[in-house]
Formats: sequence, C-alpha cells, structure tokens
Amino acid sequence: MTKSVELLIVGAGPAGLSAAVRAHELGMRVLLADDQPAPGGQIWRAIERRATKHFDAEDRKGLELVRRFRSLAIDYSPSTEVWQIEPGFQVFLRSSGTLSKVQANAVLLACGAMERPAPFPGWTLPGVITVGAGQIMLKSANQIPQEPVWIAGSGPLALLYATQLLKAGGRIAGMLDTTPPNRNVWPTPAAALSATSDILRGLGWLKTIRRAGIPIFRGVHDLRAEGDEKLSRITFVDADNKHYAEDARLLMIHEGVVPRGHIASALGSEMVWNDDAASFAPKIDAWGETSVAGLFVAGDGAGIAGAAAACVSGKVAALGVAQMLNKGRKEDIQAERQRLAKEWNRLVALRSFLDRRYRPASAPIDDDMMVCRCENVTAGELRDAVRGGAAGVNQVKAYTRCGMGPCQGRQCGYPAARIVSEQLNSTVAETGLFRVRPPYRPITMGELASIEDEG
Amino acid sequence: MFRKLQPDISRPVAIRIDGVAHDAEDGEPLAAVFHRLGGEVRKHPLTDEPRTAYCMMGVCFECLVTLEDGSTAQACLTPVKSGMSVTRQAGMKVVAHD
Amino acid sequence: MDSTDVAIVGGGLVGAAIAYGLLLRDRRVIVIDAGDTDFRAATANLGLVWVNGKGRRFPAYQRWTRRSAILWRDFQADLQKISSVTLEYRQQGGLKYCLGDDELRQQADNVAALRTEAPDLPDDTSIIDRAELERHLPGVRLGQRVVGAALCTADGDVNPLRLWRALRIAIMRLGGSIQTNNPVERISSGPDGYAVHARNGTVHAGKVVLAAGINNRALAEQIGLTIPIRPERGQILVTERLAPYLGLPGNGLRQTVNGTIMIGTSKEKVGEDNSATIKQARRMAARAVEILPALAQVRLARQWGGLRVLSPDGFPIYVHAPEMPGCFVATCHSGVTLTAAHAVDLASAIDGKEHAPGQFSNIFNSFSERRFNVPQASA
Repeated sequence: MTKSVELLIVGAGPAGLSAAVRAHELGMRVLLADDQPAPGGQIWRAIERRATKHFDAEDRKGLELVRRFRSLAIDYSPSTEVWQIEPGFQVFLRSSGTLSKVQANAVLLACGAMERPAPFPGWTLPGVITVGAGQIMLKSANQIPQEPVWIAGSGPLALLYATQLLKAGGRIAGMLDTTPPNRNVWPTPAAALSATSDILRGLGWLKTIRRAGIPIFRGVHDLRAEGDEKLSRITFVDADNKHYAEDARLLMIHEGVVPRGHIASALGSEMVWNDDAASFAPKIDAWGETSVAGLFVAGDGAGIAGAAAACVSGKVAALGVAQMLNKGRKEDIQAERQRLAKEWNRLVALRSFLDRRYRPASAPIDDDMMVCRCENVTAGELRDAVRGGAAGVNQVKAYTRCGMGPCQGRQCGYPAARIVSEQLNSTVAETGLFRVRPPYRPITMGELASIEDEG
Repeated sequence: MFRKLQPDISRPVAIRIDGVAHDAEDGEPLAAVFHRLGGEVRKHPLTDEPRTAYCMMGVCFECLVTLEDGSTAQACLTPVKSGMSVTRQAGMKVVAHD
Repeated sequence: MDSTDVAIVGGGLVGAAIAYGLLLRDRRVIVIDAGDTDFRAATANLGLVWVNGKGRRFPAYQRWTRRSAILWRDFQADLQKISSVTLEYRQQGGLKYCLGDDELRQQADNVAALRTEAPDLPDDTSIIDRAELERHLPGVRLGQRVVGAALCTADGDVNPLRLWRALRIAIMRLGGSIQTNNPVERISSGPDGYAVHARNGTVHAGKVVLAAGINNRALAEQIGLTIPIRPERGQILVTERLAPYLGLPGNGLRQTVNGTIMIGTSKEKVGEDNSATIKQARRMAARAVEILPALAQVRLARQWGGLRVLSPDGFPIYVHAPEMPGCFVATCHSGVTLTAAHAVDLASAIDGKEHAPGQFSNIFNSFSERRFNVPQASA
C-alpha cells in the first residue's frame, strides 16, 4: 500500500527543515527524506552530536531549527535516497536496501549545493579533497588534518574553514588564493549597508589567518598536485609569475559552490544560467515553483544564497504548496510571502557582489587534464570529439563516455560544458549540461525487479 | 592524514576493513575512517590508480566500498556501526559465479 | 552557399552510413544534422548486429539482413582503419533466451517459418536446450525458468556509439562535411538539382537523401512522398561495469566490451516521448534477473529511452521519389545491423553508377512505401 502525502521534501538542510516546519504548521501532511543519517544538510552536519561549546550564532540557529523540527514529530526518513520521481508525483525511495514508494501532491527539492568541480592536474590523487570535505569531517567526525594542509581556491568558504581549522588546533601550510588578481568588483553601497555583519565576519576571517602568520599567495594559477599513489608535492605560480614547488600531504580545494540541480533537471525543469554565479539553477517563480507544475525548489539548490536565505525560501515554498493545495487563508499567505520576500532581499543583498568577486578563473585547461574522474576522459578527448562532429555535450558524451560513470556527470558536467562550448565558439549557457536520467541514485537490478508490478 | 580532535574516540566501536580490525566512532561517516588510515579508499576499476573520498557528501562517487552483503555503498553516506565489515574495491566487479 | 553531389539529411547511423559509402565512391557529400538533444536512435540502441529471427513474412528483408551481416566483417575492418576508432565488433553468435516451454516453441516455430519463406538462406539458427546453452555460456548460472535458446551463429554485436563516432570521423577524413545543429526546414528544386534549406543556410545538391529518422515523415511530404512511419519507444537499462561474464550477446541482453550490461526489451507506443519509466525498468530488470540471477546484485547506472522508427510492418522503407528524381528516402529500424548494407549496397544504388538511373526502384522494390497502399501525396 503506497503512502500518500501532500508534500514530499527532499533534503533536510536549512531550506528543507524550514519548509517542513512551516508546511506542518499550515496543516499539511509532510514527509521529509534525506540521504544523511541526521538532519542539518551540509552546513549543520551532525549538529545534534557536536559539542555546543564551539557553536557560533549560525550553529545555534541551526540546532534550534532542528530541535523544533524534531519536536513536531514530522514524518522524517533519514539515510534515504530518492532515486526516481514520476509524474503524479510517484516518488521512489531507497533506505538501507529497502525500496518504498510515496505518492505526493507536491515535491520540494531542497538538495542544496555542491562544490564547483574544478579539475586541475593531479586532482584525483589521494591527498587532494575539497574544502567542503574538510568541513564535513570536522563537523561529523571531529577530525582535522594531521599535517599542515594547503588550502587553494576562491571564495568565503575557504576562508571560513581556515579559521575553523585554526581554532581547532590545526595547521595550515599556506593559502593559495586563485581569485584572478585585480578583480575590481565592489558591492553597491546599499548592498554593503544591509550586509554589514556579513562583511565584518569575512574581514574577521582574513584577520585571523594573517595573524596566525600563514603564508598567503595571491592570483595563484597553474596549480598541480604531484605524487606517486598519493600527494607529495604541489607546484603553482602566483600573480607575480613566481613559481613555487612545495612539499604537501594534503591539499584542499574550493572554487565556490553550485546548485545541485540533478533531480530538477531530470524532471524536465527549465534550467537558467546565472552569469554572475556561473552556474545553472532551476527556473522558479516567486513561490519557488519550477516550470514543472507542483515541483518546487528552495535553498541553495535554487541559487546560492546561504543558510539564512535558504530558511526563508523554504518557508516561501511551503506557502506556495499551501496555496496550490488551498490550505490557509489566501490573504494571510500572500502577506506572509511579501514579508519573507523583504527578508530575502535583505539577506541576498551581497550576493551579486560575492558571485562576481569570486567568479572562478577561466584558466586554460590542457588537453591531458582529466575531466571525467569516473571514466578517465581527458579534456583533449572532449575537444577531439567536437572536432569529430559531436556538436553538443550529449553527443560528446556518446563519443567519449564522459558522464557515463557512477557520478553520472555531477563532477564533469560543468568542466565538460565549458570545454565543449569553447570548442564550439559558444557559451556554457547555450551548451547546457548533460541530460540527466534516472536512477538518480544507483539501485540494484534485484531491487528494481522487486518493485510491485502495477500491470 | 586526519586525526581526531580528542586523543581518543569518544564512543569507539570495532569495525573491519578487508578483515583488519579498526577503532571507529559510532555514527561517523565510514569515509572519515579511511581518511585517518591514509586516505585511499579504492583502486579505480579502469586504471588501478588509488582514489580517495573526495567530496564527503555523495556527489563524486569515489568512496565506493563493498558492504558485508556484497552491495556497493558510498562510504561517506554510510554511518559507522559496531561490527560492520567492509572490503575495498579494486578492478571491475566480478559477478558471483555460484 | 554550399554545393555538393549529395546532401544527406540526418547524421545518425543511416545517414552517416550512406554518406560514408558515397564518399568511398568518390562522391562529394554534405551531411546536415540537427541538434544535441534531438531524438537520435543512434544513441539509444543495444548495438546488436543481428540476423536471428528477423524477417518473418518478408523474405526480402531476411535476405537484406543476411547480406548486411556478411558485409559487416570487411566493412568494420575498413571503417576502423579509416577512422582510427576501434568498434569492438564481435561475431560469435547470438541468443534469444527462452523462459518456459512456450517461448521455446515460439522460437522453434519462427525459425521453421523463416526457413520455409527463404529456403535458400543458410540454416544457421538452431533451437538449443538448457544443457547446450550452458555449454555456450561457461561460468554463467542460468535462472531456473531458462529452458534453452534460439542460437544463430551469424549474429554479433558492436559498440554502437563507437560505430556512430567512427562513421562521422571517417566522413570528415574522406573529405565529406557534417553540418551540425542545423535542422532542415525545407527542400525545393534548385540550380544544381535541389536546394536543402536548413536553419543556418542552404545546401545545393544534385541528389538528396532523407535519413532523418522520425523526422523523415514530415520531410518526405516535401518531395511528394507519404512515408507512414511511427515512433515506438524502446527503453534501455545499463549497469555498472563488470568483469567479463557474459560471452554471447542475447537479443535485449548483452555485456559490452567495456563491461556494462545493456538490457533493452521494451516496446511502447507513446508518441514522441523518450522518457524512462519505472514500469518498464521493473519489467526489464525482472526478466533479466530471471535469465541471469547474478544480475540481482548488479547496480543500474542509467536508464533511457529512444524511438524506433517503425513502418506499419516494421521493415525498412527505401524509396526513390518518382516526382523528384535524385531524391531518396531511407528509413529503418535496425540501423546498426543494416549499417554495412547501407554503406555498400544502398549507397551504390543511390549513386546509380553501377545501375541505370531509375533502377534503384527495381532493386529496392520490396521496400517501397507503396506496399502500404498509401495514397500518393500531391507534389
């Protein structure tokens, strides 16, 4: 017998939790499914398990929301993967090898963001991981690098992790800022005013790092990770064209974050290119609804804007679903949405500035650089494919197998789109990403065969 | 390559990787254990190169391990449980010939 | 403004094979291909080079398929050389698994009927029992319900994506060109014979071949032909890569050279919709696991759908437009198996060098659209 809900939420981060709570308050039958064992998404990973004495204001807000969510006893399915959604919506779930199906009137995707894939020579060596991975290990496993770590990249998250690491007693060998030098990008006065606390926080991080005497290299490019079986050395060039070769055991990289649009794309949602943020996101209206009726997106998955903004957009999506299902009073819902919209605008005031300031460098990608980690496809092979008549990312995929491996294009999608669009004298906006098909998570043939046959 | 902040694991449980016993923290991501043991999780099936748990959040599919029941899991999405036993992957999966 | 001997509308397996064949005959060729996300049967098939069981009630098609299978060996060797792309072609036989005695009986009846309809063709399909099937598949545990198979020693398989890529690279290396992202809107007569009006410009050609798959129907009307083709969706499952396990291809179930297992055993009439559905995934997975129980532990990596291009009897349509001499239509299902025949015989017939012009229709009379008794569209 299939469970039936009014709203199924995918993702228990700030947006998903906020939406779940608000939807529940509005009297909706909600199910929240998430692939992690506990709520919090990425930013509030393991928030219920961590020692609160190290919490900052953001963490405390997160714990408060998680506790409120728990207290309402909303239907919650952790360690659960959503592997397909069919129109109607029929949502197919998998949890500890058991399959189930849920019928939902509306689906809210609150899947958040992921690190922008940023291939560079040697990026597949053990010893090279993302800054996000470092943060996750700090939060969910209470662990830090044993030896001094090199941190390379661009964007506030790299700075934040550096300060968190120093606070926890970790050591940093050096910060490699890959932001292209002379980025003359400044926030508008209005944006700066409404986001003063964020700006102050960011400046605080920089001060902490400088005070700790950590070498900071600017305008870094031509980064290479080298080693036999694992990382032993990095080489790079700075803005003054000075070349460096340094011993290294661990290198963490971060080139910003991009929305996780995998499921939205698979369901046929129109995707739009944001040039400031250099990424695609599902096209949504003022309520968070995509071009697919009943399919909503909230949080960073709709556009990178941070945890506080995600909470707001989660609530807005809940209102959107309420409106769709005729729950609550229309005037109240409209009024609440308008209040939330104002709060949203305040929270994202700095967004455009941050996006443009930290827009990734379009450094040239050599032919021998591996772009597809799963199928070992190089940039040169992608270019050859275009020269051989593959005039789009999906044809390039057919020619080269790039995107056919276990990650199904999550890691190679953006770099492949960039390389293909350059070769076609086009833009990434035009070229688009690989077509996404089910299953959204791998399932076994035996599990698939065991689904109830509905004739 | 990684170490716990406290000198001891606060809620240690015993797990096995390739038959070898290791201490781990109940509930932590399995991939974090591999990062304390040097970082390598598996050998890539096509090239035999060592790979690590790169993203820790389920989007890179590098941290594949084989669970006791023979199924494949992403170690970063698998919480440590007392007594769990996993094996490292190398080469292409061999279909059981029983 | 481009000018050429032959303009080929459609750069899939059919169009590319014909282009390749014509280029080997020293014709100038331009292939006009549409967009990246358009329906492409070329990237939605299992890669079988297949004779087994085909052509019931259509002996000419049995012969055509057979002819292509024979041509394949030399065709693929030459194509590999010219393109420098390995095709992963294997020709060691193929199977149609039978679950239960009814299926075995059905296969036996089909084989016998095909033999009666074309007794001159080689007798290389046999019904084998489970024990013999096990000998053909060492190390493979068969499901309980597998009672045997129809085994045809002429069957084989190829990597269909490499085949497609090889043809397109070969086209370029032989001096042809492929215009991409350039959907064709209109065909008219022109100073060189015909003018093919595409989004990005016009190609002038002495001859035009419509090989645009499902889009052939609309385009053919412009040259005065009614081509009654319909889409039929076929869905495909592909698994994770596995160590070599399944030594022979089955129709709808084969292990590729790169280790993945491909499954494709569905037929749906859903219009121009290539979505992947749970219903078919479940059905196909269930049957695959019934045949090979070990597949139960294997992970599905991806599922997708493609559109077969089907005429009312399911067999190809090859036409030389009576009112527009030099304009041809080529449409078929089984574009992989027929690639060799398309590159050699069909290209030769279109070229018209070895036969008098107008003899195309004699050679391919059986495959004309007139067999469907459709009224001729007015020019």
